[in-house]
Amino acid sequence: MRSGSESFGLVITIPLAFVATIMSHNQGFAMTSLLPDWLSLVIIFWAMRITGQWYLWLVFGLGLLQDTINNEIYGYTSILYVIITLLLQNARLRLLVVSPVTQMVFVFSMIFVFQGLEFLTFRLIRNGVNLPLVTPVLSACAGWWLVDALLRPVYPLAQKKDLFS
Amino acid sequence: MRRRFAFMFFLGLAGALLLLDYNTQWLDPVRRYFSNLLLPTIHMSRWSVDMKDQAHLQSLPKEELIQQLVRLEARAAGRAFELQRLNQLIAENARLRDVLELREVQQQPVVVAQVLLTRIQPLAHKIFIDKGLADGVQENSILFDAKGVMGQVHEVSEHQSWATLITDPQHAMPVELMPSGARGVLAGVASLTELRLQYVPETSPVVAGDQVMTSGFGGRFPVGYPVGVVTKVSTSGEQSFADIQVTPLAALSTMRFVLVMAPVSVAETP
Repeated sequence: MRSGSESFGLVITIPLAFVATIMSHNQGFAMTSLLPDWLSLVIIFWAMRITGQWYLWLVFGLGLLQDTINNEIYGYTSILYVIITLLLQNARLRLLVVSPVTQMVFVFSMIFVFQGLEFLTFRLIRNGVNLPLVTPVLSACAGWWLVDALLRPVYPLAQKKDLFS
Repeated sequence: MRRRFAFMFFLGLAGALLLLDYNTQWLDPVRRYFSNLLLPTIHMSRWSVDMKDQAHLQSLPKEELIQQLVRLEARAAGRAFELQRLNQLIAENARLRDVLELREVQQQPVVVAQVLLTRIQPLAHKIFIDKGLADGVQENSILFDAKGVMGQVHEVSEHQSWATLITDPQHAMPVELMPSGARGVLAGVASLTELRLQYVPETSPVVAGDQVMTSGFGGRFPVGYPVGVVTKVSTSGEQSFADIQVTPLAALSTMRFVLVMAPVSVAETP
């Protein structure tokens, strides 16, 4: 049985994050490259709290919308979101017993690994294009810190059962 | 087990979509549908930009606004005079073409479009504009501003379009250098302030400061539109082609509005 408050949180935060992501695309060129992908961060936040399969469908669909906004090939962002969600859903039981700081370090490491993999892929496959690594990682980590600080007090992770179960 | 199955399922689904979208145009109607669906959200998300503009205007003193208005009126009067001269030249050009029995060049209509989204990433320099098929924008339409060429439209929907900037690493266009007349291909290198001119022989008399103009080859860009200025020429003496760096003239990093013109359909040759 889903709690009304959590469903409300999901229904509010995901569209807000989506609009924030679109907004970051029309803030001028300098800002666009500095702002994080808010939708990814909110998806990460909820992936640590929701274990249901329906969430995978949701993130897959959000990936398609994100691909439309980014004019990217369909499926590119969706698969990224699904992988992140599955990783976090698998790690959820371990994350429940560690401190918030360790949880944050885990998410930071994941962001770094994903950005690093993308960096390496483009270096090796796409004619050696030098993808920036430090700026996106730093902005994503700062963005995560903000998302976590805003939502954690309302939807804490340190609970013994799934918020949506 | 269920998670593994879910992973494989979504991986397969995403893979199929990637293949389908990369190799065919079957998903284009879906993309257009989603774009139309998201358009109100995109317009709504511009409120912060609009508010920033409003706040900037409100913060300006009245005297400065009046001065600005006077300056703009004076500039408009100057432009109106230049337009008259330009119309005379167009008429004269048409007469000369008639005398020389050259084919008439179609004057393409120009529409002004607002930039709704910018996507600047190492692999993609694209913008989303608020004009589409209904406004006369077509695939391969040319984008430019008052100073120079900006890019071309690569995807059109009914009321909006995606355009690739000349700085996109996958974009290349044929150009001609002035005054030397050397020709080459101008390619983007994922930098808003730098372009790379390729296939210009080392023996060509190219120097920093040369103007880079569209050559008209390829049948998309019209002839003689300014694109950039040569900033650096490196020759090693060992290679066939010079390494030439070009700075784009168009204000790519601050653009808000762009001019869109249909691609050239009639070649300017007899």
